[in-house]
Amino acid sequence: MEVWRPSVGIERLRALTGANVASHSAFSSCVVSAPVVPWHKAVTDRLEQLLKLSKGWDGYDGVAVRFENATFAIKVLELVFPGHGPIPQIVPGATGDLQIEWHMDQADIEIHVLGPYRVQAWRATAATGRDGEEVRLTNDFAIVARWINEMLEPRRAAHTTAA
Amino acid sequence: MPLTLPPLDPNGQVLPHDHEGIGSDDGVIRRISEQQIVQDKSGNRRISSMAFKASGGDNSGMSVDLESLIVEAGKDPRLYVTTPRWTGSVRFTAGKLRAAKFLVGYDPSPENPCHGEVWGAFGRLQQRQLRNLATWFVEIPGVAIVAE
Repeated sequence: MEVWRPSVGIERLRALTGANVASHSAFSSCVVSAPVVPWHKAVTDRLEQLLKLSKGWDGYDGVAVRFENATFAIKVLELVFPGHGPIPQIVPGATGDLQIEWHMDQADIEIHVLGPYRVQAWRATAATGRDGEEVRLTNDFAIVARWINEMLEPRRAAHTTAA
Repeated sequence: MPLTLPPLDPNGQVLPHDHEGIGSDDGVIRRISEQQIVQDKSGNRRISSMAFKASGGDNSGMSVDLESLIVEAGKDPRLYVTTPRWTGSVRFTAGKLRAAKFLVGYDPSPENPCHGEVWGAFGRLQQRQLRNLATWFVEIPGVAIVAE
């Protein structure tokens, strides 16, 4: 949540107004901070690990996840994944690529980032069968957002009922 | 018997091929890293689909080790595929891979003279076939090959 921090503190406010200002709701201090999304730290921590993989990590010629792929993955997640939900698993590929995965009761979803704007997304549900449906995407991830929303819908309904 | 050198493209990269020197019963070993393990919906650990995909490079296939070459070199296959870094591994037989429409070829490198490649379509059906054909060679404890 972004909040404006005023430049004048309580002491200065007292000096300006002559009032015995102890506090003022208009000047409650808040800090400008990065968006707080529950999955963000876990995902960035995992990506940092994958950016540091040593050559041959897979027993062959595997290289570390490429930085541009990691940043693109974050951008995609920020677009398609609402704040609350299960943290995705992230698996490296051999050539700097990566795959974002969820495996839930409602669906399996895998987003393979081969490179920026080169994505293969796949999902399997009871309706699609185990081989699922796959799409190739560049910059429009509306279908993935829908898949994730459908995957999370039963969880949201359960929370609402419990409340 | 040593394998004949594989066919190369103008850039010197190995072309996808099915090597006649790799027998149907020959073992084809695929190393599996701990990085390629995920949890399924029940929280059980299994191999990610990423381990059963081709790499993204030119003439891309799925890297493997050819067991017969390792044995002919007088080495222990299980020691070979866990060196220089320990990974798990699964094993196929070449004949069963070919029956599933994959090509099994020879792609040696200075670092790994027993290196091979498996080429073919790596769609969901084929990935499922690969899982069903694979058996643990060097097992990662507690990890399933096939999803529950």
